[in-house]
Amino acid sequence: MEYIEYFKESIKETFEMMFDENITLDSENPAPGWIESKGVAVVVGITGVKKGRVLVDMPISTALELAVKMDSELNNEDLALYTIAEFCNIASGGAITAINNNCGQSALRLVTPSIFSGTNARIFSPGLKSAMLSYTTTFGKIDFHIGFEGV
Amino acid sequence: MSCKKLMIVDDSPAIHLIIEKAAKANGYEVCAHAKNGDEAVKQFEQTLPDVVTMDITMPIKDGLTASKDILSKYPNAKILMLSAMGDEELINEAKSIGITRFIRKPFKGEDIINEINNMLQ
Repeated sequence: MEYIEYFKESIKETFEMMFDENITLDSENPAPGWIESKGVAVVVGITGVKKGRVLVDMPISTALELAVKMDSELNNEDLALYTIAEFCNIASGGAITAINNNCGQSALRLVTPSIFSGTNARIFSPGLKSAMLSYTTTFGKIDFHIGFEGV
Repeated sequence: MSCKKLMIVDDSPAIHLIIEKAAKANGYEVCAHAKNGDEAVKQFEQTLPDVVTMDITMPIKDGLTASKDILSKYPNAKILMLSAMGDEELINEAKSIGITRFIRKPFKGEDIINEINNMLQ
């Protein structure tokens, strides 16, 4: 995918700045048409010349540990979900900023994140060409599904 | 010296908590919280804060529109824009409505306080 390197760079930079921990990319593959959530999924929409979305998916235990790592007062499930939503928003924003500055006429913008929590949730994204980036952290596995229409 | 009043505008409670902690630790009073631009405009008029931290991407009314509304009525309002986005077009749009201070997320609490201190000098 044309934009994927911008996302890889922003995810690594954002994660390390927010949580003071390393994040390692394990694999990069075409994403399946549906996602079976690990427990917490955040979706950030992308609008503009090209439309798309970024979905980050992780177990709730990982979300809770990350939130507390950022600030010890973010120690309940609701605040952990908002923290992960902010992480997804910032990582996406960094990538979109770089795309806008480097790929003329993109004028992409973000949409406020949506948060999904619960087990056995399946999320479908028809019509998007998506890549899945799977990461390892000391708090558990995190997947990013990045999709755009027609890219 | 009376403590300065801060209003925090962001749709993320996690960001409110981080900024509020840093603000209180540095002698600021958080006089209002708003989670979208519409609330921000109303809260500003009710509390007249010395400084505002304003997110851009929010539901109902975004931070740029809210800042424009506030600055049209209170041209001396001090607004620190915070955003995950920071491309040239967005920064130019912010400058065109009178925003001169801008911080890219992610940030540390002390980054915000340093910027606010500079704005209020």
